[in-house]
Amino acid sequence: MPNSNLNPQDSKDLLACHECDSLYRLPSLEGRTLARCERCGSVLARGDANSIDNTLAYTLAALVFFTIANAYPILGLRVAGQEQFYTLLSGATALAKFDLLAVGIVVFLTTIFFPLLIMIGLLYVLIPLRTGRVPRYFIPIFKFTLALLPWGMVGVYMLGVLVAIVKLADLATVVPGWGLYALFSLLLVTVAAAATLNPRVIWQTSDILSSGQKDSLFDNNSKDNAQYISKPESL
Amino acid sequence: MSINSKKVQVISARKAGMASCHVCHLVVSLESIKQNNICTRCHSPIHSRKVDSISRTWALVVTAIILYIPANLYPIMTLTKLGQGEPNTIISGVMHLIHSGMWPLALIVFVASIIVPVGKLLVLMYLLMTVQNRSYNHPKDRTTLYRILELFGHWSMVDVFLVSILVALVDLGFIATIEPGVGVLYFGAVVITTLFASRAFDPRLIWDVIDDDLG
Repeated sequence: MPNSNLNPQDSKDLLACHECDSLYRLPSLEGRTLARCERCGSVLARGDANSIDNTLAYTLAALVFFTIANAYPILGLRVAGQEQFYTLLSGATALAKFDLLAVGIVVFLTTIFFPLLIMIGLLYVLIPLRTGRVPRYFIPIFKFTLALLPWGMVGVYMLGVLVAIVKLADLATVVPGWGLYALFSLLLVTVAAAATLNPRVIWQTSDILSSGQKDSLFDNNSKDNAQYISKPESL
Repeated sequence: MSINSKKVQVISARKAGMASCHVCHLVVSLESIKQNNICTRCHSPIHSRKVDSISRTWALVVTAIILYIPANLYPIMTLTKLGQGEPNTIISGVMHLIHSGMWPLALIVFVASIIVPVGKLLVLMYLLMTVQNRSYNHPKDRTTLYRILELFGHWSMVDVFLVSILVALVDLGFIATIEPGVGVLYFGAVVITTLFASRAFDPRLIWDVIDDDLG
């Protein structure tokens, strides 16, 4: 049953489930409301209250913790009077010493380079959007940042550090460094940033700004169109 | 058959002559982008379904299975303590942890290095085969399985990170050193290949069979 009332002009509030392709017209989502697909149960969209502000704040915090985590040693090992420290970077370069350059590069990319690029990309996009303008090269840079998201693996790395601590406990005394606390904090704010990041809202914001309807943005009092609907209206 | 009884009235974007952009999720009508097939908002190429999803996923799954063999045969690291070397493969590393009583640790490494990658490959093969057989059964559960894959796949990297940390940290000359083995190269390749494999699969194919038959 092809729908005659679908025209490209009003397709901005249409949403297709990316897991089962069901088509929906999305109601405005209040607060932290989730819209789930009726058919397959995947999350279609989340409420958009302050999403840009939150992601921006967590990303700024992440950048601070990232700097500390890289500047100070993560762990030290004390055995028979000798002390051995390692930093995030030396974890990646150590593999290169043993002819495993490829693995070293993967570790460097997923734990240092990609997380850094993701943070820079988000700040580059979100700060101008928050102040009401669309940054230069918004589309390619935001697309690139979104594509990198799954390849930042700070959380997995943190689990690796914890396993290493327990594993080495019987071999020598393990000394936690400042980098370890920073890494753990980085993990927390990264998770928070990822949880609040709402690409749908960011695309919409840039759409609205580009079309010059700036006034309708960041106006938290305009709640007339808010409906407490957690289930989207199917077409 | 199960889907009809639940009376879920939905129409797929494809049936409505529309497609959602893979990158920005804008829904565009295929008619309006006939000339160049790119998204009107973010200029990414628009495809109703991921291109060659089934054959690309199969290729990556088979690659991962082949790589998983050397990943388990070669040692991932060698601990040399007071001059005595002790190479460890993934499995002997887990056994070693069990023998020294570190159960929780053994469980983490076992789940991340064996259960997750093997389970991921089995689930992907199951999804591929059910789609190819045009199965009607449990589409919602199969979609959930896929969602779980996407959520946990990258945790297998923990073993690769662990080796990199231990190698950098345990470099104490004669007392103890840890050297990485070539097994970690193959294992890392397995993890990355399975990550690409699960991204190559398109869960909408599970539902296309049902949509097609509803007419």
